[in-house]
Amino acid sequence: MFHRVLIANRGEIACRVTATLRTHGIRSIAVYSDADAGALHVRRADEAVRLGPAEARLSYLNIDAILAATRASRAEAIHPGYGFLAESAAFAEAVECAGLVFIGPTPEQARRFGDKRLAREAARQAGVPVVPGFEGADDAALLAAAQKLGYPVVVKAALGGGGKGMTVAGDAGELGEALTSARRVAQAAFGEGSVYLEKRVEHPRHVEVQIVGDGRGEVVHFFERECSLQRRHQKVLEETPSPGASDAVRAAMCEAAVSLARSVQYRGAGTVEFLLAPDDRFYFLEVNTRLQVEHPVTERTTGADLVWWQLVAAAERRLVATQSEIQRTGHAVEVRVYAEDPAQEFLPQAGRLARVAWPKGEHVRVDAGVETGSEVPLHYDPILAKIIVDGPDRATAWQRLAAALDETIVHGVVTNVDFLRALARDPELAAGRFDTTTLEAGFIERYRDVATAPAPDLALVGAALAEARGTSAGSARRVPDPFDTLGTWGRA
Amino acid sequence: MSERVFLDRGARRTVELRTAPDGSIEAVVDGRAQRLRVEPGADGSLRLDGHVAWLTVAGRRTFVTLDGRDHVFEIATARQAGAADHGHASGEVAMPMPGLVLLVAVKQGDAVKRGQPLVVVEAMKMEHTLRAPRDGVVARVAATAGEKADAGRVLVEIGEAE
Repeated sequence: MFHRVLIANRGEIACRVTATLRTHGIRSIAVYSDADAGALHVRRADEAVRLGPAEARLSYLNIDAILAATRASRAEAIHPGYGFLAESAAFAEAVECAGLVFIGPTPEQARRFGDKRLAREAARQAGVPVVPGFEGADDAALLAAAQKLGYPVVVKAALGGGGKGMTVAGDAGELGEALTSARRVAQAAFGEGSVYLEKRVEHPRHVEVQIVGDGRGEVVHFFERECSLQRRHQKVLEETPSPGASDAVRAAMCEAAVSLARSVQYRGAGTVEFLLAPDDRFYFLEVNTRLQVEHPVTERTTGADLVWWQLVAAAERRLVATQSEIQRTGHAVEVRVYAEDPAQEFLPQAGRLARVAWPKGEHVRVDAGVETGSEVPLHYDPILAKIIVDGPDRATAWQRLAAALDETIVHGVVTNVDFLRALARDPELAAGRFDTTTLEAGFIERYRDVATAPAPDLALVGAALAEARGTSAGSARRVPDPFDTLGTWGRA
Repeated sequence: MSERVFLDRGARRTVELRTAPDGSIEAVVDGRAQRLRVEPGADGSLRLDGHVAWLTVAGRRTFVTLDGRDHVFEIATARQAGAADHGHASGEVAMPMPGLVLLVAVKQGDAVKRGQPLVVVEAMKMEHTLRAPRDGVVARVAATAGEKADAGRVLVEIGEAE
């Protein structure tokens, strides 16, 4: 096993990886940009190395700086977390060329699954159903293919994924424009403008299977996760088991995921994503060649530490346990806490967190990247934390989620916590009746109406009490204030 | 005690507090009077008539969590506090984060309604629509489609309607 591991990431996922390294006595080395010099992930790690200025391109996306930091700190391996360089084949390759270990797939696997056309081809060859589609460069051929597939079709960037660079065309007239716009977005975002077509699957659920491979052909799965509650293709709430997959579908999906991963001798942790149609047919969507944000729901129901599985696969080319030893019990659900304003089109927010209080209890796990006093910079993904709640069954887990969110207090920067509470309390969602379109087909609008309605008078009374307290304490022109008698409340 | 003025998502709200002889608090919110008991909780929260409230003053904003809802109030500036009821919200629409201006949907002199889209910007790889904070007339447009803008830069200013 490694002795020293560098984590090429920030925030909650860097803290999460550090926790497993500590459990196993491995020295953790954090990296940071100038915006993160005082960040929680820096303080949690055993050592920390500066990468560069705040701008991600010059810090967390700067391959040379990360390799230099790894050498300087004498780390043997790099954990990429998620986002940033986690799915970059070029990064994986540079790490290996530097004689270091990349905790993830081989560069060849990252490249194959990074190009969605090649990924679809790999799935087809492994006998995994893919969404009916067409890969071709020529507009006339694409138009003919779309006619044959039937509208609406989705134009996707070959190097995209996670919904980035996706455009829907409802008819032949819209297709031309969709192709132009998708190519432009793809060129700007991925440096490569190639696109392909998929038939749109109506009202699908997004269900994915967690796998880990040893890089020599042995692959196990950790069952599925349901991630249908999304906004702009960004997952908001994830859970396991999926309330929408029957036992037969679940088994077939897990088997398909394992066959695909086995066919390429997959190394490390990965997620095979599927669309599950209302008629119980499922289609391969893509492979994420990294740890997912939502991995904790799998950990809470199987007892596995997926970061440890990643380390063992990378260091020793073996799996921690066999398939029959991986059992799932109970239900777990996760929500992502973001610094964003749900009443203002989820606009990212930045600033200082004046008060942070997370829920507690044996059925609650919080993976946080911030605490009271943390600065939330504007430069990066605004995720603050993940709250994961489990229970013996789905209903209990959802009830506990609602209770946990009532205990969640994040002040100083506007967050989506208020929106998450509305999700957890919604009877339709709690009953499992939703698909990937549900949040954007009315839920968010209804929420916005509630969120932008005038606040109740009692909330204003609270604000006035807080302000009286805040401005009177220690002030030179202090006026006698009745609220002094109320003790030390309100001190964050 | 003097009246406090807050902006509740742009709308002006007034609060007056005083202590009644029996130790309860008399509050007048937007002219509506109520009497309530206020007790400190052991955990840093406050109980308002039994409702648990978490209250944090952070700069010019006050964060309130009450009955499972989050509210953010801006402490009004003297100008805003003195403003008449119709023209309460600040008329400045600023770049929320560094990014790119994609589209400017209004020009100087346009009459706009609260919530009407003014500017579409791209930041954090996502498109965001900036909307009018209140009714009024566009007094100034300081943004051009295609240009980069830093956080905080005012893009559009909404003035009073004629």
